[in-house]
Amino acid sequence: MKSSRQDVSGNYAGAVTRLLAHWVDMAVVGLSFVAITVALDYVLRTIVGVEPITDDRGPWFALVAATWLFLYWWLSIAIAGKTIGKALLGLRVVSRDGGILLSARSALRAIALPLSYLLFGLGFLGIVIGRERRALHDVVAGSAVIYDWGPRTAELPTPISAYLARKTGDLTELERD
Amino acid sequence: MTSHDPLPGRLGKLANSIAALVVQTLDLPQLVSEIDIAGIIDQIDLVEIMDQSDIDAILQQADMDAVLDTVDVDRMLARVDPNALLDRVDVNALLDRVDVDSVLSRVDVNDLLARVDVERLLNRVDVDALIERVDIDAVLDRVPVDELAQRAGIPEIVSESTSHMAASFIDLVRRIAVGLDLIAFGAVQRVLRRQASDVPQRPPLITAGGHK
Repeated sequence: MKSSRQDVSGNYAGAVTRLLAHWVDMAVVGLSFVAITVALDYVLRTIVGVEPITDDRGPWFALVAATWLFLYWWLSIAIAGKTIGKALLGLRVVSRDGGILLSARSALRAIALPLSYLLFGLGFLGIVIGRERRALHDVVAGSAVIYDWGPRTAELPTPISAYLARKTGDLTELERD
Repeated sequence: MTSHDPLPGRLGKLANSIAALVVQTLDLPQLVSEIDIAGIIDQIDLVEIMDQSDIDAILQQADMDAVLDTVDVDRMLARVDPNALLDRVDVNALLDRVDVDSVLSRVDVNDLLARVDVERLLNRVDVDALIERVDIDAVLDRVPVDELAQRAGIPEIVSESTSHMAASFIDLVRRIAVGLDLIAFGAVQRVLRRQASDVPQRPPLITAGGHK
């Protein structure tokens, strides 16, 4: 029996999915950073016997946080092609032509990511209006983001699939069971 | 001459004639009926007679087979009250003398079981009553539930079910998000007056279905 849902595996990912994945990633990065700093604080106080400077939220602290963010985005995409948030939402980062994104380009993408936040997040506008739905950091790194649900097929919900089928008249592909 | 020898000569003939005349004259049945046989028997000391008799010698001379042939065993057994006989038997004492192991060693258990009608036997078993007598808690205490669950593969089944449920839930969230993506992108395309054919669906190296 053929599925009544339209297969979108490999298609360019849209703004809603990418936004949700980004929120998940921010939560993962934030929580993991807090966990690491707390653990580090504990080790320094109880084992090493050093009193860490906890009141200072200055440039060093920001630098460490930025480094952590960079490592998270760079290594996860360079190694797996996806971050935790992207894996959860079924997204994969590829090169613009659909190939594997090289490690250097992954690093460049991670460095360029903060640029997309500049000017009230204008860098993300490309995801909404661009033909290939690429953000500024994707353009800089030569990457694109596609739907990839692993072994399972990325699908549209049935009502939307049916609507598209009526619209395009492609009843053979979206034959209902 | 003994007292039983006939008298010689005329005297003998006379005696015989008189005896024959007496016998003819006597009413023997009447005479016998008047004899108190029971009284005579009462006067006989049978025990003394038995004591004086050599029973073993008599029995040795007797043809026992012939005697037994004349015995109607069925009739004799019909007169026996088995219950009364069995009441007099000390069964425990009897069983004490039986070598049970020896008896059992002579029993062909397989043959015995082959002759048992198991269906009929089971029909006579009151299973409900049997189960009521079983201490289920005690039985369950002896059952290695963890080991049983492991052997039945229940952890794997639970794990697979959990994974399947989690995957289904995640797919549902993803599907909703993809749907919203499409709606939002469709709205933007309308605003920008773009044709669907102008917009690529996926990177050139990736074919429909996500295969490279």
